Parts: sequence; C-alpha cells; structure tokens
Amino acid sequence: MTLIDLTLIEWVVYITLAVLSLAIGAAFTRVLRGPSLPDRVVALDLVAYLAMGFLGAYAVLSEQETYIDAALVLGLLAFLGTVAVARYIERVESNESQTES
Amino acid sequence: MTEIIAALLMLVGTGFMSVAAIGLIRLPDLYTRMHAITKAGTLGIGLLLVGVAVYMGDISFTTRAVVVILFVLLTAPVSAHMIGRAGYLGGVSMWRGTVVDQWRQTFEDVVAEQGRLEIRSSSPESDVSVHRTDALHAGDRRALFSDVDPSKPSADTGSPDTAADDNAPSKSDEADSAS
Repeated sequence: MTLIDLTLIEWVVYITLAVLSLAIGAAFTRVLRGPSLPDRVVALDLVAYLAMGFLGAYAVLSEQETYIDAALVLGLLAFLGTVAVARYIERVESNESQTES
Repeated sequence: MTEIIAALLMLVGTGFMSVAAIGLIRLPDLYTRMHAITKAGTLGIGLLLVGVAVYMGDISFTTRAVVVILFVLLTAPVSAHMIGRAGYLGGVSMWRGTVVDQWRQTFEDVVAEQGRLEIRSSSPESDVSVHRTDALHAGDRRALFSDVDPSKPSADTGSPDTAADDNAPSKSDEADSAS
C-alpha cells in the first residue's frame, strides 16, 4: 500500500496519530523535568487525554468500535488517579506543617 | 461530505491537543500549565471524538463517544481544581509575573483577624498584626490552612492552641525588636 492509495480519512488519521505521539512524548518530557509533584501529575493527566484521543483515532483506522470503550475506561482511571494523588499530596503537606508548627 | 467534515473536526481537535502539549512544555508554572491542559485538552479531545463519531455514523458508537466527552467535561475541571489546590497548599510557587493572588489575599485577612484576636487576649500592643501579616509566606500558608479549615474533624483540637502558643513568643520578640 503506497501513500497514494490512502483515502482522505486515512490520511487524517495517520496525521492525528503522528501528532498525538509527538504530544505524548512532549508531555513525558514534562513528567521527567517537572520541578514539583503536582507538575508531574498534571502532565500524566494530559498523557491520559492524549491516549484517549489516540484510541479514538485508531478506532477509525481499524473499524473497531471497541476502542472507544477503552478510552472511556482510561479516562475514568486517569480521573481517579489524579484525585487520589491530589488527596495524598494535600494530606502529606498538612501533616508536615503540623509537625513543623 | 461526511468524510470531509469528520476530517476537519479531527484535524482541529488534534491541533488543540498539540496546543495543550506545547503549553505544558512552554508555560512557566504549575497553574498556567494546568490551565492549558484543562481547557485546550478538553476541547481537543471533544472535537476529535466528535469527528470520529461523525465518520463512524453509528448510533452505538456515537452514544459512547458522547458519554466519553461528557465524562471528560465533568472530570477535567474537578481534577484540575484538586491538583491546583494541593499544589497551592503544598507551597508550589507562582510565576514571578503573576499579578493577582486572590486566595493569598483571603489568607492575609484571616491572619490579620487571628492576630488581632490573639493580641486582644495576650498583649495590649496594637501594631503587632503588621508583623504577622508580613511574615506570611509559602510555609505559613499550610500551617494557617490546617488551623483555619472548618471542614476538618476536631480530632486535633489541641493543635490550634499549641500553634498559637508557639507563635506568641516570636511575635512579642519581633515587637520588642521593632519598638
């Protein structure tokens, strides 16, 4: 299959997959570089969103509807993980401040 | 025609998501990065999934795509709020070009009120609250919040009193050195 054989939507899906892959890589640089723990959590949140978009675009390419269910589960897990880490950070910080004072 | 509309929606959504990723790299502090990924990321994934649903044209797929979009619209602000609150209380510093910090203003009012109450009960000097307000920084924010928060259970009822006792001598020292 050469590039000329691709239909319009396949072109768009391949472009989308490429751009989202680059964006996931960029978000992971923030995960590695982020100065504080909330920075890394925010970056992982964006990685989850990008992976959801990736799954949605791949559903078009493979004609499989099931990928959108995987995207839904991924979003659910990302939300629960972010909330759990936020509560954890808040509790740890308040404990530190209580021991400091 | 459907294909063209779906392609346009997917391309625009991809553009918004790449804008979110660029913002995550380029913006200077936690709060602006959070703003970038919450708004641009939500809009991007919404447009992308709408485009996919338009292309598939299937009622079951469209329903699931709408469910995913509504879920993201509901959860993205909540998670961003929680992580920003945790970062602020954890003392993550803002960008130095920040011009307004409304929560800190609220904290300063609360601190001034607390200082006035403690002064009325302990010492007759009236200008000590100025020192207490000036001494507010990232570390104090957390201690202050853990004292002030009314939603916390009263299991640590002793801690505000001990915190007040710890703060009282340093305040009087500051007042003595100033006077």
